[in-house]
Amino acid sequence: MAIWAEILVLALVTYAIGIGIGWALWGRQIDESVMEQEGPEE
Amino acid sequence: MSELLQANWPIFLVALLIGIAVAWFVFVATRRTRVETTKGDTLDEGADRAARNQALIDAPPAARKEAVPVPPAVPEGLAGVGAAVAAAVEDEQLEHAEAGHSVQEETADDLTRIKGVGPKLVELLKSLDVTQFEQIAAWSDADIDRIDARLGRFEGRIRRDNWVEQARLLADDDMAAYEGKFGKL
Repeated sequence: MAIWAEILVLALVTYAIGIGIGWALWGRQIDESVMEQEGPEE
Repeated sequence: MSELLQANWPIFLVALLIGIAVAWFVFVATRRTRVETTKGDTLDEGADRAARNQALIDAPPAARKEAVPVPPAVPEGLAGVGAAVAAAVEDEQLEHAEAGHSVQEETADDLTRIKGVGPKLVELLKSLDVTQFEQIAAWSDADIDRIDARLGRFEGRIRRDNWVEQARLLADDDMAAYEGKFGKL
């Protein structure tokens, strides 16, 4: 039982790393493009 | 722990791929393109009044009407009668001059038919009121000297090219004699 708990925790951590990688690939592009569109405030 | 990872690496790989897939789904697949027009046409009804008025002021001016010519003031009373009469006389004189000018143009001869006379000399002679063969044919020596002095760089041409004789023959329309003496036209 403890082993499966460890595996689950490690899987969740891996899952979070995957989301971090996805954000780095696609999420940051959106933020940067939104910043460009808004432009400086007058 | 390392043993655990090595033994169950497919599970962790799948977890990683699921995490990347979820991130893709969140950041890419569900992205909606929003088109927001923050800058509307200033002349829209909803626009600020001051901005709308400024836009109308800045607009190019409408085509101006041509200025209506103001007629000259009509002289009132007897004081203006003299001026009116003088103006009428002036107009009449102008009409006569124009009529005379047009008559002269109608009866003017082609002076370029005289050998030695080109378009420039014709203009010069026109300015001296010489437009017909009869006029040239009737020149005396004194007239020739007088006109010659006005010809500038063409001075001496009258006698050299015998304009008087040529003009006389052309005025009489004696082509045979003309061509016999001066060659073909």
